[in-house]
Amino acid sequence: MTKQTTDNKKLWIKPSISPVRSGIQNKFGATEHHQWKDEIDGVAIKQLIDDHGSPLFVVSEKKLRNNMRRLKRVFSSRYPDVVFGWSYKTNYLGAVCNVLHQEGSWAEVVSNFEYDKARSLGMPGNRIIFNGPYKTRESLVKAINEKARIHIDHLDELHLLEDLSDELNKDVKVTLRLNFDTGYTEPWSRFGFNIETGQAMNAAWRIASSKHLKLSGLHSHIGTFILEPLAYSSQVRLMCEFMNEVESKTACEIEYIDVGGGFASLNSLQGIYLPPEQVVPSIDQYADAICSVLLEYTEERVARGRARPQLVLETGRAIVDDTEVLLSSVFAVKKMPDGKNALVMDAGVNLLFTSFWYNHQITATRPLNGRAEETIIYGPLCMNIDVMRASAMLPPVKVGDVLIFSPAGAYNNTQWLQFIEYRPNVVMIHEDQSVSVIREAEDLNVITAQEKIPAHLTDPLKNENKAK
Amino acid sequence: MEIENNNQLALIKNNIFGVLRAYATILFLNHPISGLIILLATLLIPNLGLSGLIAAVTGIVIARFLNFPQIASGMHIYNSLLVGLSLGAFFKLDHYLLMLIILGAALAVLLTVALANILWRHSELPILSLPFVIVAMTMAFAARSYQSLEYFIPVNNLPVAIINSDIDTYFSATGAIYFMANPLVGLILFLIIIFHSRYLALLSISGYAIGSFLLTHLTGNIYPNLVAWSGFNFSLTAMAIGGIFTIPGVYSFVMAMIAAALAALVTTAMQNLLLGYGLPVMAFPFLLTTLTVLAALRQRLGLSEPYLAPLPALPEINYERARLAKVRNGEVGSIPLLAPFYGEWNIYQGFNGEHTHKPPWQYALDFYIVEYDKSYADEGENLEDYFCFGLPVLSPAYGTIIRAYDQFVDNAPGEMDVTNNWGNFILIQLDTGDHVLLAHLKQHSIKVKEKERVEPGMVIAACGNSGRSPQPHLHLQTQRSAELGSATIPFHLASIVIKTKENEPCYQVVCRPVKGDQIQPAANHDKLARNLHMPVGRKLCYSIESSEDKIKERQFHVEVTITGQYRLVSGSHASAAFEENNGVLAFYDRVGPKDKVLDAWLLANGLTPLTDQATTWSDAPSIHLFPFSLLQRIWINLKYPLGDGLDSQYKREWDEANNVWIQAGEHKITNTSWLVKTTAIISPEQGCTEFSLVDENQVIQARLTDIGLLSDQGIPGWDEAINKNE
Repeated sequence: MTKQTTDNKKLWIKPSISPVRSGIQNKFGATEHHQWKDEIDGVAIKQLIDDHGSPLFVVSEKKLRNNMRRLKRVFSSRYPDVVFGWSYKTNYLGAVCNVLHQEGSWAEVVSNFEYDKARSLGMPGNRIIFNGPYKTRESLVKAINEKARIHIDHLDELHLLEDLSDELNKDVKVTLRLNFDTGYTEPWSRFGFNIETGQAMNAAWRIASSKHLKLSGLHSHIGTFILEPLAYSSQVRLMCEFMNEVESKTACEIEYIDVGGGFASLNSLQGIYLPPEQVVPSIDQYADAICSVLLEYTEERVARGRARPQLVLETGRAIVDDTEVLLSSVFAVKKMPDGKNALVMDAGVNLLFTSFWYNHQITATRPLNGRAEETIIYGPLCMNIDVMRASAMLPPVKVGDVLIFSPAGAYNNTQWLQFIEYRPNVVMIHEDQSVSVIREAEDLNVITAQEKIPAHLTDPLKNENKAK
Repeated sequence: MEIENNNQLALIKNNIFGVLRAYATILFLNHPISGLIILLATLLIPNLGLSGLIAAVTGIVIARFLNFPQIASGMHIYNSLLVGLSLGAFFKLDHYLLMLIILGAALAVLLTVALANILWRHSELPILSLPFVIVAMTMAFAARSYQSLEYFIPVNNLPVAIINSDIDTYFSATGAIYFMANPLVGLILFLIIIFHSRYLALLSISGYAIGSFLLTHLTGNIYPNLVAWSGFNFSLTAMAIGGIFTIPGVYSFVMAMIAAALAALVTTAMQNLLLGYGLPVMAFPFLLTTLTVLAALRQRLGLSEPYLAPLPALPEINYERARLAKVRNGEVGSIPLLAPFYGEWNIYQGFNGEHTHKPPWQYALDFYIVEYDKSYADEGENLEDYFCFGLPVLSPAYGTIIRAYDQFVDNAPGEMDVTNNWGNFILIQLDTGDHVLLAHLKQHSIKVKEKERVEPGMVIAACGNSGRSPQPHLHLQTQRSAELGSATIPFHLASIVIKTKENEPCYQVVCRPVKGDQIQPAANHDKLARNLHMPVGRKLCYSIESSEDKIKERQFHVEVTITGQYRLVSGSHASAAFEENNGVLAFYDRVGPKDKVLDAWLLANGLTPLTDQATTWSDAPSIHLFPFSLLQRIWINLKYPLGDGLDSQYKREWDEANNVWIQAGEHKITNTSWLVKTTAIISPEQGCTEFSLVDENQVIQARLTDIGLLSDQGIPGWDEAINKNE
């Protein structure tokens, strides 16, 4: 819950100078400096920083479970058979994954590493959806033996799978990844087989003639941060049409339709003028768009006594983004030559990688008084591109102030950089308000653990020592 | 040629069995051997016995000649038989009487065929011996002018006293059913009754006792002859009302006794009325009382004690059917429905709810969705904020849309339309004839038209907020009549995962949720449903290892009866009915000879949910499936004369390594330590590949060796050996 300052006590306010501008005013106002927040799920932020240092990632288990339950409720009250594959690449911290697995999610992985990680967390192979353009021979053998759902991305992978299934003499159920033009979004044609050119149908024929491969699923992923639910209606319609075609032509039975992910979260994408509350559709709207078309296109199957295909969703961002925040402290306050204020924070794009495309919401942790001024927020890196926010309207802050960057749950803990800094603690606040560290801050050992130094390079001062 | 011979043989066999069954049918039994014994008993008085036989044969010839159906059941000729017996009891069998017998038998058959259907279709009343009474009256009146008929004075050596006078009178009265008011004949009949049904024998004695007590004490005089000749009316009335047409229980017993007393009243009245015409009372009191009571009981809309049996049957069978229905359906006659939605919903108002679910609308459920005690997101100012608003509404059963309306505007949250209580609604006529009402639907959301056929799971509308609905919810009720808002009748939801306030989510075959519960329809598992599916002609061969029997192999196959009931028939000719409806495979109604392998199958698979959301469930199959020793069986029959249920607990888990479900059952008999354990191994490709039964004394192991299909005309049968190693 964010808070607003209400008391009228006279406070000292740091003086500031700003040019008088006439003309356009920001009609949505700058709300950031009005609101502040000193706790997360009932745990004081000061306490968190004191205990675990700054910067600090904080995950709310309660919010994570609520988001997952809500998503599940919204979809399963609109369609009889729905499975959620937790998109590991969005956030593969073990604790986060297992909260979602406990809520019934499967694992959706896109690399050998993610596959191993899901298995090591205890996911059985038959609840792993194995996606992505680069699945090595070894990882495919593993996936076949452990009955994971393999989504074929290209023809060479199809050939490889055919060879492997012959070698292992095992029937393998496979899913075709499709791409096509929905008319709403830029087609993601680099992944999967194209429907319009007949490539996808050819692949289906190829699978039908294979001894061990059985086509049993269709998958497509129309993009990311999709703000128009109708794009999904169009996607499902095209997939169902392809399903009917492929079933009647190759006599396969499609058991699941995977519509991927891409639901937007309440984050403001750079370049979008309206605030996220106004442009981001609700999960219900996405669900209506997907399920109504799927129900309509599968009604005939029910009449023929067949079950409706399972609907698979690989929602990532919409589940996890708003469950995690980054707490970062002001390290220095600067004045730029053009008069703008600037802050140097202890976290930058190294930790909040998504600040390359989002304008994160910045919330103070104490009431900030004074006039909001345009402020540039820099990270700690010795690099020009390390800018957390190119422009934010903030009242004056002082060194040591903690700011909350939110939402930060999606893609940051997987894409963050180690570049010149140690990565900080990640903590999770549990439903009983207890706090656990779910990823410890790095130290020198972590970063150098994998390094091997050849014998003649162990002494950096060897030459000098020799000279002596 | 051979086929023709076979056909003729079958025809002759059918006819003979038809005649024999007719003899037994008079005692509500349907068994040719018992019929044969009764036939022989009637021949103790040859004049009477022969007259009866001639009439029965005449009846069957006429029925055959005119092509009336159901000859083999003896249904159409027992009235002819009674006519023959009644004539043979009074007149000497000569060529004059022969003519009369043939005419009487013909009239009885015609009357039966003419009336039976009308009575049953119009008010579900059985014909009983009504045609006989009409024919007998006709004959009696006509006989007065037939001077050529000679009265028959029975001369026989049958003993007239065997035990003591009271008991002998009872037996004589029983014999009088066949116009032989003789204790020995009565004893034979009584033994036959007791062999088939102890409860029927009890009803017979009790009914007789009440009726004769009333008759003798009210009239003040004791007419042993009147009691001997008309006492069977009390017995038959009690048997019909207490056991054959109702479900045995305290209420139906009391009702039977009241009916027997009424029969005594009617007997006295009839006696005085008919005495003037010199006519005997015959079966008049039985008919009048039984038909009146049944007709009255049938008028009740709701279900209440004494429950009427869905089909006339022996009391033991009625009791078992009702017991199993109660265990599996909540109560007799409760209508099974599937949940009309997807996902988890909460109960807003249950049966006998505090707001609007009051009699006669007490059997209704209101559903909505809550999350953390709130049914809406944000402020709840818009209908779209409510979680259940606009969600798909499904057909809960097979049926036909008879009315649908969706022009009312959805109320704003908090507002209600009390003029049009039901708002937008769909009324479905189920295939059973009852009706389902879904109400408060969203404006313009109905996807089906009147007269359209619907199936379970079909999306037919959307949840809305029309009518008397302050917030979006779905109203579901069942009713007998097609009137909007007529009186409701009980129903239950089938195959549900229920989360109550106190308990973890659990699977229920039959669910009657109450306010505050959260329920979710258990989705059928495609593999389970498809591979346990048993179409007609399906053949399953199991190799058997039994510690007790020598049997090495057993074949089951699926048959469909004339009424459309699916039955699993074992090689021993024992069989059990089954249904694959409402998310479960359920077996019931086991009949036929002893067959431990079939019983083991029925215990292992008796109630198998077709969803993998079911991990534990319970059932109470017939106690007679338990592999008793002889002594145990005698004791159980004494302790539970009407039968009882086992306490069966099932547990099913998926065995990842072997790719099968393991369904383990534990079957106990209440208050004893007797226990058997069963296991069924269900493969997602081949159905039940193994089943076993283990108790202290024996082990039965069965392994599927062969799946096949019996051949049908134009469809070759097939067999596929199951390779265990694959």
